[in-house]
Amino acid sequence: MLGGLGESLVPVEGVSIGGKIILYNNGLIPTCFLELRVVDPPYGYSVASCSPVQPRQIDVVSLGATISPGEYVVIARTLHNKIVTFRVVFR
Amino acid sequence: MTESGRIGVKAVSTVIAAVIVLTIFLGLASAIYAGIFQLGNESGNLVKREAERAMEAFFQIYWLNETHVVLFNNHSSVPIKLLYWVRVNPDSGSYTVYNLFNSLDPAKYTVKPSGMKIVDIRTEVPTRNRDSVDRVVSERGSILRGGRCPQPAIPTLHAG
Repeated sequence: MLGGLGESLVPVEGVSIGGKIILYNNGLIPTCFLELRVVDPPYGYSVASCSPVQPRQIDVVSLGATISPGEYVVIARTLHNKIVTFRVVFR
Repeated sequence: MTESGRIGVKAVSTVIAAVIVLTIFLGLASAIYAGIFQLGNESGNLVKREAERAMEAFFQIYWLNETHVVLFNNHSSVPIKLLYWVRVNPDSGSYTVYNLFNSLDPAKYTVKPSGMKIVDIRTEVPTRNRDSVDRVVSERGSILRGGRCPQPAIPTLHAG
């Protein structure tokens, strides 16, 4: 239950080349994304290399392929099985 | 041992057993209560933190020139602490994270409510690159844009 309460990954920025999303762990516990799906506009599904980010630290997760610049809606599942939806602008 | 003695021993052992059971029960109850209290407290702290994060939305960061940035906290009632400066190069796909908390002055990137600071950023972040896109991350997880000086809402009128 504490995992659900204290888990918060915030997208900082998207990088078009390589489909990278820079993340900040704003929660209380180490966490990361296990899988990501770009849903709007539909782009694809990616199983991420989940290496836990410590609280108050920054890390990057990759979609595995270059994504065209623009704003996307992404659904992701975290290490503690929390499903989150967020918007990210890839530049 | 007489009958009354046997009854006495039985009564004492019953009392001891009752005390042991009561102690275990009280221990469990207090542990559960402490757990619930801590969880409630943690939940309250997170809600408070999220409310404070919402207040950071009006915080402004902009370049004054090639070396100095303005940190402007005029519209919130919470102090804001900046942790990271993230610079992305869209052409190469590379990104660099600069730690602002490594500054020799720990309060350099903390701005009090109704406060404004002009800081020389060169010791933590290289000078502005015209093509770079900068994002700044606060301690509460706000993602702010480090960009150009904002334009006035009403265009300036020039006479003549």
